[in-house]
Amino acid sequence: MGRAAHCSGGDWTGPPADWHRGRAVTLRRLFFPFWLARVRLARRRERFALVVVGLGAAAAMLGAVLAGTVAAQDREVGRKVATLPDSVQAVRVNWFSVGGQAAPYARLDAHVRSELHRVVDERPTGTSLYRESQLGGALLGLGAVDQLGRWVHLRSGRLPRRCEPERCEVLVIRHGGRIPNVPGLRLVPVGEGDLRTATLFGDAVPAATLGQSAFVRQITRYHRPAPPPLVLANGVAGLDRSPLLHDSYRSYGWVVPLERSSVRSWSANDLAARIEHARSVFQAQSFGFELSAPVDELRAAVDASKVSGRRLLLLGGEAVALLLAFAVLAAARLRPDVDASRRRLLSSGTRRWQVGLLVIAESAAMALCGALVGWVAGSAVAAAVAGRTGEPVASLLRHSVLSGGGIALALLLAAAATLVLAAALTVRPVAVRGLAVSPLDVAALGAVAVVAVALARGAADTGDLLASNGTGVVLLLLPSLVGFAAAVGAARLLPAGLRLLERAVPRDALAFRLAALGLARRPGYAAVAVGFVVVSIGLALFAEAYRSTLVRGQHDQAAYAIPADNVVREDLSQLVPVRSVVTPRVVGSLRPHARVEPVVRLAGNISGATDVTGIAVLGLGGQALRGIDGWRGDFSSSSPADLAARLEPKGSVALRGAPLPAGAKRLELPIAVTGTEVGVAASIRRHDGSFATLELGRNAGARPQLLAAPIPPDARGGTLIALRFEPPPKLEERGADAGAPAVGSVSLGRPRADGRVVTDYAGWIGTTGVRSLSEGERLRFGLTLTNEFDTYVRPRQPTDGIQLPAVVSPRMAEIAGPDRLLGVVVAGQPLVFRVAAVATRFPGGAAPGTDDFVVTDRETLETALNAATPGSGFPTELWLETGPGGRPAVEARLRRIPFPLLAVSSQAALESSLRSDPVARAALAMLEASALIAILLALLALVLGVVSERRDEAADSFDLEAQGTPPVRLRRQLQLRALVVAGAGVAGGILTGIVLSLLVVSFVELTANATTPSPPLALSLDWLVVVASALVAVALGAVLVGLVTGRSFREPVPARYGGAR
Amino acid sequence: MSVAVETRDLFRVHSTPEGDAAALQGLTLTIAEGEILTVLGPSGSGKTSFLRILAGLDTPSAGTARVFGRDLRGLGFGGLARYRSKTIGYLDQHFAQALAPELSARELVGLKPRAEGIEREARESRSLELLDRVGLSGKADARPGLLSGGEQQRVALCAALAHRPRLLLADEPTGELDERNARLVYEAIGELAAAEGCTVVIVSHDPASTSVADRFVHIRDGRVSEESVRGAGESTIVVGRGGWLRLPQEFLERAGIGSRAAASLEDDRIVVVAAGSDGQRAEEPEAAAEPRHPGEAVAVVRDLSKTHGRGAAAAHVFSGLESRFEGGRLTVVTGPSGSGKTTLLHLLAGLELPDQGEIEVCGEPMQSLDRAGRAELRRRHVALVAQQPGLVPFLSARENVELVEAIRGRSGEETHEVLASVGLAERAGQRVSRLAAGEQVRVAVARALAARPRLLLVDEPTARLDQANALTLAALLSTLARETGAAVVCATHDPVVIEQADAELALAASERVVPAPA
Repeated sequence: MGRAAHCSGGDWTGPPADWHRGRAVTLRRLFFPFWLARVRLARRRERFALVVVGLGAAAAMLGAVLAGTVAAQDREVGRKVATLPDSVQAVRVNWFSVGGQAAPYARLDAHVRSELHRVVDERPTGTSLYRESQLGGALLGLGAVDQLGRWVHLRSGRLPRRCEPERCEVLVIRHGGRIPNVPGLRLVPVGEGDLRTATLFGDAVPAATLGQSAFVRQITRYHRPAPPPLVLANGVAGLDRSPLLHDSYRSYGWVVPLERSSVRSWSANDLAARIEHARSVFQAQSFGFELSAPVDELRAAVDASKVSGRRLLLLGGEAVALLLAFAVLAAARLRPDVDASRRRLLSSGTRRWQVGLLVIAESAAMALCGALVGWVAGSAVAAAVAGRTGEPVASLLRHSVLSGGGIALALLLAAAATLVLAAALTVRPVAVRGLAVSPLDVAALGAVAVVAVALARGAADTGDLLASNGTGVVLLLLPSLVGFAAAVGAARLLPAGLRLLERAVPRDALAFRLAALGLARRPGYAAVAVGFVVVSIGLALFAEAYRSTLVRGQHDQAAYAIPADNVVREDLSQLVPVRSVVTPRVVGSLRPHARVEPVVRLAGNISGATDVTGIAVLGLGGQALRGIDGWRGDFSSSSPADLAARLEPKGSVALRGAPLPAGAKRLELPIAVTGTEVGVAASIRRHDGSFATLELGRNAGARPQLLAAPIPPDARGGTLIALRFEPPPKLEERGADAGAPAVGSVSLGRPRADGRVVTDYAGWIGTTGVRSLSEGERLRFGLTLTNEFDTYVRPRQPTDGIQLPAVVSPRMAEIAGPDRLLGVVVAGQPLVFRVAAVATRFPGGAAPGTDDFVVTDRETLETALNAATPGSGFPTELWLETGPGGRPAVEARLRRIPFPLLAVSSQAALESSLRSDPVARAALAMLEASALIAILLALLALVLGVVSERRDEAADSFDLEAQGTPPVRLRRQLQLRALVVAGAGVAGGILTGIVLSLLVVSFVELTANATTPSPPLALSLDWLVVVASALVAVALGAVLVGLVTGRSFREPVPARYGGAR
Repeated sequence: MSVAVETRDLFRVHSTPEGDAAALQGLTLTIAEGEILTVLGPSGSGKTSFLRILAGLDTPSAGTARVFGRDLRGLGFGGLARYRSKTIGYLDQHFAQALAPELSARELVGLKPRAEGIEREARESRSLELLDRVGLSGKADARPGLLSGGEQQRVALCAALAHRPRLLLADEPTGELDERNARLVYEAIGELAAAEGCTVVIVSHDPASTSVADRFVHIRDGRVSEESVRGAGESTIVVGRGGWLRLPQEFLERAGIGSRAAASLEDDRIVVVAAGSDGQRAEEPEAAAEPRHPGEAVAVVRDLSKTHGRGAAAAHVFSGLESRFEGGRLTVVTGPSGSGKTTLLHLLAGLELPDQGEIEVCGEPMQSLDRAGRAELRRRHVALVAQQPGLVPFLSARENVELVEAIRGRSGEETHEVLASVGLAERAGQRVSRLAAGEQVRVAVARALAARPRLLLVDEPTARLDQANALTLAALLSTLARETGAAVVCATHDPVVIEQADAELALAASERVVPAPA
């Protein structure tokens, strides 16, 4: 028992001698895991290096996405600002008053410059304008600009010197009269020039010559009186000193053009706020000040860029998903080592919290290193790209990856990776009724639930993305959640699948059996590798599918908006109707290169239904409908050809009338009216389809008369379509007689043109207001005329009494009801349509603010309209389908008169514009890059899997070789293992990619350009790209696996296993 | 004498897919403070369960376990953690797994004190002191990879004692060591325990473990069956509560007692005799059958040299080795760890190549074959049962054998026969993962036999088996050699196997074949 006396246990483990010692002990205990982590990481760095590199790659991707997003946002803001008119692309302070009321200019100038300096860090340019002043009896536009030379382009002469009232040299901007030279202000023209930009004076001095063709200048000048001459002096202060101008009205201006360098996505909101603050300050000081700047436009641009930025979070989410998946993969490789370490420590009595802290410390060190390396690499990539695209590198980085938010994101990423690593390294399944359930399973179910709840909330459009941070979080998490759930599912199913595979494989396929057995025996790493490949391939496929969907969306969007190669419409700013300038000769000039389809587009409404307005009523020819662009199968169960067949009239629907003899110059109509006074007009259809109205005159009493009017040259040889009867003027004036119709009887003789009978009235009818019409030698009928309806007698038309077959939108079909008849007021004429088919959307059929449309046959529609009101049915648009090789010729023709007077839209140009949008390009480029990175990571996982299995399964390989398995079969079974992992991963990845793509496409209602898509996005896959990528990936994978396995089992002897010597 | 450990009626029942299994069935034992106790027993007797309960890693299903007066069941989660951390030192059989490869010997020994927050100077001096006591002060900065197995286990012992535990628990501490290193480790345990004044419980089935024990007990079927005190002569049978006692198997066999016995009181003695008709006396061992192909050299090695490693790290395993391995005979290869037993088997199997010399197997010179050629030779003529056979755990014994037959290009018709030959006909359909350790070794042997090899190489087959199972397996190998005519070469240091051998190649001392003991 003597030995017991030596027992000294407790010397170190008893209570501390004093408080300080106890605290030191606690600190040392706390520090122990960190010391051990440091030693382990330092001495086995090769084991951990791969984890760091992998995490770094994903972090780099996220960093690059972040910087790329900011760059795209910035370019978008720049692009939006650049599209603003020059006149508003500036911060401008104006002061308007007469000189006697204003403070001295010098004081105003100093004050304004001081305030503006707080808004923009640019020196403003001073201007003054004495608009159309009377000087020396002459009208003159007079202005001054500080440093005039910067702003004008000399046409002749030289630039003026600094203005002094004694000799004020001026540059003539606009001729138009005498330039006065009076005492007190000696104006000396020294040259002529143009303003370079409208920025300085905005609309006050229209930059008439800027950006306008000579033709447009010519036709716009026609509407305006000749303006007085305009001259500009050099220097506001000098001109201001002229006593002659002392009491003149003038406006001073201080202008800072909004340069690209001062408008950045990250600072635009601040700039807008400063502008508004400055505006408030100026207004508080005097109502004479007016500050103008495109604040709303700036904010709108920032908002639009924010939407696009939020959508790019999807890509960030993909990077996060890849990162976390790689963390799990890496943890699987490290897990045996960490498990062994934990067992050792626990069996030696190390506290559990210390062991836990060790795992967390190691995980955190790896995650932090990875995040740091990745963030630096991502920043470098972003800087390189930004430098190439002209973005300010330092600012971009400062406002993206190196901003507070960016660094916080990197830290958050490191924290997430730490948690995932630590969880993957320590989490163990628990048995629940015989089923092993791990926290990862529970987390995967949670991920599915979160996705379901997010989707149940409904789709996210631009408004959601702009307004809701929650939507952004969902977007960021969506790829991770779906990928995580898919990976866990694949990993859970793999072992059972492998055992089934082993049973299913033919007995003689020994290498395959051995591969399946080997994987099934220890599925741990293979399951994680499969999970990672599922995530990688799934995300790669998603990225490609989404990219392809967005590209197709751009095409769909362009084709839907412009359903032919070119569409010619009336330009609402110039109000020149298509039919008035696009003559048959003009159309003929297009025909060799393009198919020209006239189209009728009118707005309709349902009478009495105030909530149904702005219905787009389209009249399309059969050929136009059959060849319409932008049609998608999901619009209707019927094809365009089918729809065209349903709309085509059974017989001729050409407008009927009485032809006028060729060359006849005068139209006469014998008439006798009793009971009232009527006016009679003849509607003549010209050869080109347009209408002329001949006012034949009014009856004077009841005696028979001959009304007559000359036939205009362009209407000669036309067709008499109708005779219109107008009520007396008093009724028209809607005075005391309003409410009482004009009633009478009419007897019409046969109309004659140059003495020849035009028609015998056979088959003529009367419209509203005509009663008891009887044919014979004369046409007799009663009349009841009001201002409510036009009253005609005319030939019976093929559209009389029929309903026009139409393709309608779902709401129109709903309004039509079961009898499928829809009454729509079109161009003031009530028409009845019969619903022949329903389509959810129709290319070119969208009207502003509504999705309702009615599409019918053009000729039928024209006839129906012209029958109701002659001249009301005519083509309003031309759709041009360009033949092969004809595009350059057509485009060249469209640039020449008369097309500049019209609005010419090009489908290709719109699509090109959509594709050149920086947001779209950034989104597509990032999707391509992320797909590529995901595939590369999948290949890396595959190769790592092979390497790990070769290492971890060395004992089994040794055993197999000891049983007589030749090395070549071992190599083959290693390759087959890779094939099984890849096959399972790719299968799961394809499923994941499709699910994720469908979810995203249905959840995120955004085009590549971050606008609400019309039509909605439809999932699309560029099979060529997918198959080509798959082939390249398979080839690359085969080569890599071949390289790794090809060198395996080639040593003279196998790696040694089998215990002690 | 104060009591260190006291267990009373300890039960531990494990739930398994096949039903509940009782590892401990009323184990009652008392250990005095400062005592060194060895617990002996065959596999499955409950040794490890007993040790895990003492270590606080497992809880008893019933009964009490008190250590230094504290009932372990009364300790909460935190109390158990403190107990494991301060009171217990744990020495594992698998020293390679117990030592962190990235730490030096000094750091390994100082690891626990560091985790306890001991200041550096005390920690360092303690580490060096312990390493010095086990003769490793010169290797304080060496990492485990540069230490021999014995040295690693001695470092592990120092690490287990570094925080001055009051109770050292050693689980098969020499299970992976050769005899010499085992002796060194036991000596170290004895010396350090004496110096530190710790109570020691050693669990083992190695009789050598009793060399340092003050007392040793045998555990059978979860109870203490016998007890011996050093210097007290023969062991005594322990009588449990209610009069339960367990008679040695040898006594029962000699007395011809089967499943029934009759006991009578004669004077002050209890006489137990066979009852009923099922008892029979142990038969005399059959005379060994003559080998089928006696004297035919299946494998021959000539002037064999082998070195592991290069340069300063090079270790000469053997040189100039000459030997022949005859068909129909069981040859054991013996020697201490590092003497090249496994290396020789691998050389014979063509899994390694010699630096010098010749190896001929079935008439084929091994050096003339490439790796694929040697694999083909093995496929036809050679089978190896490694220490850790690569059985597929979720396949049945039959499927495992069939798989190897498929690898060897055989039809699989003999699967049942070979499984029957190793006594596994009844368990052929059972998953390997559910077989006992001894049964798994027999599956590995059956797998090898299915190839009908002319050369059967077996590496330490009894390392994880108790004596009874080891005896059965050794007899099986001997019988197989005779019945199949194969040359069976078995690397071992297990006396049970050596006793059954026809020849022994002792690598440590003389690297020559010497006749087996009669």
